[in-house]
Amino acid sequence: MVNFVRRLRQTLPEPSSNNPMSRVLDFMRRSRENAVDILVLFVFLQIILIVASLLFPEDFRYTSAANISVMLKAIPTLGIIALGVGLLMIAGEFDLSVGANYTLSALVMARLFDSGMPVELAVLIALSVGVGIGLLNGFLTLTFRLPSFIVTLGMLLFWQGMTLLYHGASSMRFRPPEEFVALTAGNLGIIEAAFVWLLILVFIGYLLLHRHRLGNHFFAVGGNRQSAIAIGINPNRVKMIAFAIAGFCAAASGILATARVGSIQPGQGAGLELQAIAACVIGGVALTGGRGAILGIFCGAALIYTIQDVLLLIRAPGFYLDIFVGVLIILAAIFNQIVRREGG
Amino acid sequence: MKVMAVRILFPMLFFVLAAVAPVVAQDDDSIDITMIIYADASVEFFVPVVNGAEEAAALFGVNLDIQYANNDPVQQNNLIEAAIANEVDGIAVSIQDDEAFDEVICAARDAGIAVVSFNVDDSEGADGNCRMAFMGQNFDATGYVIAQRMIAEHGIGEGDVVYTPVEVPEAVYASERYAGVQRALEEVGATGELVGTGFNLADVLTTHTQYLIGRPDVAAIIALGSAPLTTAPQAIAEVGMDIPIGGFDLTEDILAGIADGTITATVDQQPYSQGFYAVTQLVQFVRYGLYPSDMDTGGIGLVDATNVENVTELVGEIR
Repeated sequence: MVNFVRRLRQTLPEPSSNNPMSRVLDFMRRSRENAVDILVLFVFLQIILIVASLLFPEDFRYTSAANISVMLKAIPTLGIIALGVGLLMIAGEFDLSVGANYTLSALVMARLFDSGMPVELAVLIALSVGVGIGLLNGFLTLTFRLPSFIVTLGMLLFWQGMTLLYHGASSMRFRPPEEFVALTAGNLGIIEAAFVWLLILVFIGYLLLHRHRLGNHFFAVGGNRQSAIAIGINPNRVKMIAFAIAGFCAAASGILATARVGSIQPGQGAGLELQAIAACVIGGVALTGGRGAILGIFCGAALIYTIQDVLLLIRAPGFYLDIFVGVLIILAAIFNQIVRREGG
Repeated sequence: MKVMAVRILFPMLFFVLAAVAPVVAQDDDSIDITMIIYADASVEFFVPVVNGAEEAAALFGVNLDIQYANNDPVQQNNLIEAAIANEVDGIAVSIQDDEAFDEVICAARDAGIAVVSFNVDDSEGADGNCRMAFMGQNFDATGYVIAQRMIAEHGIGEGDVVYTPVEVPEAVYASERYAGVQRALEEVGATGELVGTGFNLADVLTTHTQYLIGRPDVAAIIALGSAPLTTAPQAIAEVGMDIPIGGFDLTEDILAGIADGTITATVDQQPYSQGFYAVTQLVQFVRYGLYPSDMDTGGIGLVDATNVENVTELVGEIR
């Protein structure tokens, strides 16, 4: 396994000199190593949980159809947001307003549909709202050269307030046509529609980040901004695209979650931004930017919910759930570091 | 590979088996009940609810696990579905949204799991949800009662504005309490102004003081939840106002306010009873097939200066 990981790291040429291009290539090469590490961890955990479930089927129903179903419904909510947040983190920025974006975009969709607009158009407008919020975050951050952490923290509060101003404090019912529900919240056996959407976005994200020049630019501007400029990359343009993607993903997650539940409350979504960042960090995305992988982000989000699911199945006290999840998140990140170091 | 196995695989294996072992060791004939509270674990109001539920669980020898949804209906759906996957015998859940839990609670019933609601119910009751019974307060009726008391005692009348703060304005309990209060106020030509405060007491206090600074003409405060009522006396002291305060629920601070006269009266929804009877009725159904019944956990009688001493010892744990 260690040799396999080493071979994967050799997909790009070794840097032959200290010039900007070599440094950029080095960052890109090192960025891909984490996905395999977290995947190994995730797969091992799944194997152990499956074995435990097979050994004690009546007491630990991890492999039951009902449990698989709830996991496939729950993971996309965090996973889709984490995809956007992770891409932005790779590009060297943060977006703490994704939770508020998740709620406001979905509320816009619900209200437009309630006013008589076709649901497809309402969804498009909601996604546009999400992208618009992301672009505004990017504009403020890059134009005024402010830390995105601070800008998006302020925008989090702003959009939370705007949500109440736009709709008020009551919840909003959302009952779209059955075809739409089937497409967004339906299922084919144990395959949940929301999870399919997550996989589609993961695949698109993979192509963008790891097979497209724009993905290379994300790594470059996040890893070494000056070197990226030196080789002709426009960091502001690249980061604006990343902000827009983060906003889009937040809105998409809100739309799918609302379609599943049939209702939306103005106060929901709080805390998702930190969970998304945690998922990305577990998945190997560097807080300093320039490193990460789509597969890692996916595995990080899935791992967080897997931990929560196991704790629920073993009936761990809900009072201490946050403690367990917090400790296990740190342990997972430590294990990830150990595996990477063992890989050389 | 050997290093990876030793350092990662075996500790992970140990962890999972250690986590699963207590579950395996449980008696297969025991009754498993999951209680799902819509708020987060730090909300003081639910301590008596949990105490009541745990006492009932101990009394009847059932396995009770308590989960918190952190005011997120999506998370609450996940918790209910996890309980279904766990094939528990009963679920006690608060239904603070008329739409968000309809499908999943019906799915639980279809899976043969008994479901009762407590503390907050669908506004349409049994007609709007598959739950079998509700244990809680009639929010609209008690809102009317406390508002009438405040009107009668403090001369609230035509044109007066009453500040009516609540933790979660979109929740069913908030809208129904407000509806009852507003109905009484409208009878005398007054009106209530609903403001959301959240549960964090520091933030609630800030919201109060900011509102009162902006509305020095407000005639009274009728707080629709424990967090805003707890902090209301301190808020009016900080802004230098002297207006009557009334509201809902019990905490040590609320009882202290009643004792020193800053709070006129409060409605006690008897949260201990909600938790105790939710578990009790689930157990009776699972064991004997006795169908759960709706239970009004009281609150028409107010706690005020005439009876505050009777409840002081029990507040926070039972009342």
